[in-house]
Amino acid sequence: MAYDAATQRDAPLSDAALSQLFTEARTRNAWSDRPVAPDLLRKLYDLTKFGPTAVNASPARFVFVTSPEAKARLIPLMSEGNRAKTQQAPVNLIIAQDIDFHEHLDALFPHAPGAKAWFADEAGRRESAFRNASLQGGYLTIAARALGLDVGPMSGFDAAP
Amino acid sequence: MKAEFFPDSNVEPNYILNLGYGTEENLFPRSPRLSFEQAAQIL
Repeated sequence: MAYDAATQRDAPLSDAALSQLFTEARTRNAWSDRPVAPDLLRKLYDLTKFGPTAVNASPARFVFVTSPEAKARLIPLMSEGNRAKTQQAPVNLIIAQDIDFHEHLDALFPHAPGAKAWFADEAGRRESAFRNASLQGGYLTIAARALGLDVGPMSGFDAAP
Repeated sequence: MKAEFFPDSNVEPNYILNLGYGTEENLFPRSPRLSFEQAAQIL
């Protein structure tokens, strides 16, 4: 049955769904070797992208690190305690933000032509990008769990230029 | 991270998230959470 927005949008999800998304979901520190298909990563993005962001700016940028070559570039940048599990996980996702997100606003926020001019100040853009990309990372966590995936978020890495 | 993955752009890393199918290994017991009274208020 198709989702009926008019009559079903206010119906809570089942307890089983809430358990999968929240109460039974856990940050994972070890990973099976079951692969994650590229199509599933696309589906994950295609859910995440609908989460709200300020002026629909969608500043998050996502780098799915899956190949041995790309993992070899990432692992040395992780803090030591995060390296083994990052090596073991089939996918390491770098969640980043584009400080120049305002370049896309003509397309993303079409009902306010000229919105780009609201973001001339780079320091203001950086604050907005960090806030909204962090929100998008949260949406992605819930989307991943909804698709049956587990996540393990980490802040310990060398971010410096 | 910035230099390795986002050179020549104004993109900055926020955090890293491992993704896949987790196992029970090294799984901590569920840590406590703040109660509604500690973390929230209804005005």
